[in-house]
Amino acid sequence: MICIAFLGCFCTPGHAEVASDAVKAGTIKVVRGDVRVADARGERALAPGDSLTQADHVITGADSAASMVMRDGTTMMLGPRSLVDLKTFSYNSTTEQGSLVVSLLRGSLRMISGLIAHNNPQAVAVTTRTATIGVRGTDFIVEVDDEAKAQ
Amino acid sequence: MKRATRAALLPLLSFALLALGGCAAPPVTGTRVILLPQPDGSSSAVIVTGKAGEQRLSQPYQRANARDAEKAAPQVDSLASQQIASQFKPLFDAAPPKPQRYTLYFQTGSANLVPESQALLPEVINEAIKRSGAELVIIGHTDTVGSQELNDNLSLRRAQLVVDMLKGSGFPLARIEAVGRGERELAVPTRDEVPEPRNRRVQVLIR
Repeated sequence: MICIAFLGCFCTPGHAEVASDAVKAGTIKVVRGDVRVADARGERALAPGDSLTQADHVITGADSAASMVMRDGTTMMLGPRSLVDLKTFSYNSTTEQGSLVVSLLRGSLRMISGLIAHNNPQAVAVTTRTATIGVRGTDFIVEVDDEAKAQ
Repeated sequence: MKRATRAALLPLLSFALLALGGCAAPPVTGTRVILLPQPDGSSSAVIVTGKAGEQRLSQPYQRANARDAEKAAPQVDSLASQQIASQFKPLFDAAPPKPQRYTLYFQTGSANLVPESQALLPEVINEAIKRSGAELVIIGHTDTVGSQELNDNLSLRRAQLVVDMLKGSGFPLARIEAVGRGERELAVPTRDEVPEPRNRRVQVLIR
């Protein structure tokens, strides 16, 4: 599985820019090493300032890390060999209400919650294969074992 | 690396790979959640719900362990802060710097900023371009005169005016967002329908 991740630079030249019809959910801040996004159009490398949208998968390779800030200020750091699915993101910046669900499929994630959780803690969750993490105004780390390795 | 050493390493490497691939024995897999302290020392918590129950972490450096084959609620233990700092170093090193905030004011009844605020704009741009993947969030506010709907629109227009001032500054427009908060976030609390110049403002968030 990891080998596939390493080989996978399916950089399609026609899709350098994120389509403007996709609603922006967040922005990539720091990129260390091999950091990619996978969406319906395929997989490509991420750079600081790139936009993220709901349902994007952010993937890091070995010795790599990344950080992203969602539009409500939720800050997420992704450790090496990690994969996070930005499952649900909705946000109204006028009322500062919305919802955020991310799923950590492998690796490690640190989340510093933002305005969505501040205004309604129930609206934010991190899910993994074995647990659901509810946020009560927080900075925390989630780490999951690679299922492929365990089998 | 010399060819000879590489050749010598190959069997070792393949052994290591075999060992990794073959170690299906102890499937102690699962999810671990560690609560970190709040920067201001305030209390916080996470609730970890596993397959067979939930645990609440409310002390910094507590860890919940939700294992795959668990028949009970996640188990909780506690770690030393240094251990977390070293084991999860990339999660701390990759954190973006703290956001910066500026407040701008308009001249009364005008689309122009007061001179002191106008003078801050070059600094805002300078700070923004220093940051990796920076964004500017321009947040307009009103006082309590007028309806909420009117003030939502007015505050957004106010924010948009500042966005317009930043056009041509070299900072990418795609990373500037205008937000109108209306009268929801008063700098100076007042009753409804009270004119208050200090509430008519635009905040600039650099992150």
